[in-house]
Amino acid sequence: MADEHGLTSRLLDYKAVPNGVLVDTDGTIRYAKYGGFSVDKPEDVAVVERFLAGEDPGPSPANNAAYTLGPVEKELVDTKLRFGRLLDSVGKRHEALSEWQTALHLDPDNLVIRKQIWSVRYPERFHPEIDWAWQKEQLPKEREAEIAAGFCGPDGCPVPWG
Amino acid sequence: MATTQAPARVGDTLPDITLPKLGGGELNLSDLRGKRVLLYMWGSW
Repeated sequence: MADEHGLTSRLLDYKAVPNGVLVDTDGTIRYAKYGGFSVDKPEDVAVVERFLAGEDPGPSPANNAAYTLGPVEKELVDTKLRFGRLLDSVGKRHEALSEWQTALHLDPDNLVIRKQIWSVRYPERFHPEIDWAWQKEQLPKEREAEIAAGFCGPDGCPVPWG
Repeated sequence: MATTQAPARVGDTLPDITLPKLGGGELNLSDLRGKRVLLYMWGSW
């Protein structure tokens, strides 16, 4: 399935991918790992296997977010992300980037927004192949610059990068 | 359309989500009730 409008990120409130969410037969969410879930990781595979065997998948990873957005800020971030996608879809790329950048200022740990910006600003890093090494170098560089520029999220700069 | 409902957490019921399938058509996740489901979400970036 394709979630081009970010519906699942709004309904499940995640800021990074890849994610693994386990849903029981009655529709109850039993486990969620947002960011870093991989079928190549034995610990993630073990969680899925326990769940499929009818066992408790175990505790979900803790939310280690450095800050929590309030409902108004969260709605604003989400609106700007979606509005930016709409602008981009009609060729208004500069305006789209402006919306996304504002959203990122409000929610700097949101990798969904950051990678949306990257994919437009640095298309050569995403096609024909994703340059993961570049992303690992780019993220701390950007965060250092952002912290120096004074935007670190609603609670200041609680997590040093480097 | 914007949604203001609280995000679903572990222990909550998965919200009704309908998304287009890559091969055409749509899938509502509630159609999967009765099965144990792994939702794997990733991005092309």
